Amino acid sequence: MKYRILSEDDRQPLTDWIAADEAHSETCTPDFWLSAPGGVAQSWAVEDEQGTLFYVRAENVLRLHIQFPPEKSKRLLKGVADFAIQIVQDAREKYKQIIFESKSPALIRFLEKRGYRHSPEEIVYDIPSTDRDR
Amino acid sequence: MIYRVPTETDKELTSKWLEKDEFHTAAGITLDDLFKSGTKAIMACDDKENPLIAIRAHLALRIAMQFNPDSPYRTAKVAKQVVEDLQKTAQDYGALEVIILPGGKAWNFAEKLGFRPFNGLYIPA
Repeated sequence: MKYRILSEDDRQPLTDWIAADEAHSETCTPDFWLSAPGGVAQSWAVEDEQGTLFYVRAENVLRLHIQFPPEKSKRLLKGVADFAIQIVQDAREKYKQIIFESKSPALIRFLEKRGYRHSPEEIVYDIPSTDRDR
Repeated sequence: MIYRVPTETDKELTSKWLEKDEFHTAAGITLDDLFKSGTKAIMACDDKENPLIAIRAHLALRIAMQFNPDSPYRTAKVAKQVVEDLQKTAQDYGALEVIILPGGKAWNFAEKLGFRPFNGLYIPA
C-alpha cells in the first residue's frame, strides 16, 4: 500500500466515484479533494498493487472541551455568545473547523442559532499517548 | 471577554462546576481530563476577570474519504493499516484525535476499527 499526492488526473475517477456514492453525490465535488491546501488541509490517494483504492482528506480541527458553571446567568449567556464568535476569529488561520461534543439540548439550540451545526453522527478515534504526555 | 491561563483557584472553581454538571459527570469526565497535558487550558472571564467558562483546546484531524465503488474488498483489506497510518500521521502533527463522519455501513465498520460515537457540534473556522 502506498500514498501519493493528488493531481488533475484524479479528477475523472473522483467525479465517477462521487456520482456512485449516495452519501456524497449531493454534497461533494472533486474540487473538495483536489483543492486541499497543504498545512491546514491535505489530500492523498491510497493505492494497492492494482491501483487507487480511495482518497483521503485530512483537515486541522480545533477540538474544544468546555466546562460551564452550574448557574445559568445572563452574564454567562453573554460570555458563551461572545466566546462562540471570538474563537472562530482566533482559529481561522490555523484550523478549518472548531468542534466539540455536547449532550445539552439547550446549549445545542443556543449555538445552532449562532452558526454552529449539530452533527450527532460523528465518530472519533482517541490517539494513544506519546512522549508529549510524559 | 478576557482569556487567561487557569490559576490554582480557577482549577478549584472548575472542579466545583464539574461536580454539579450532570452531563459531564455521567460521561465520567474528571478534572484531570479538563486540564490534560498536551492541551491548552484557558479560563474565559468577564471584563472584571470573574471566571465564566473553563476551556481545553487541542488539535484534532478531521478525515474525509472517497472510496472506489468497484473495490470494497480491497479497501476493507487495508482498512486496519490505514487507521494505524492515520494514527501515526495524527501523532506526528500533535493531534490527539481523529474525527470522521461516516455514512451508511461505514459507521459499523469504523466502530469495529476502534472509533467511538461522538455527538458533535461544529462551525467552519
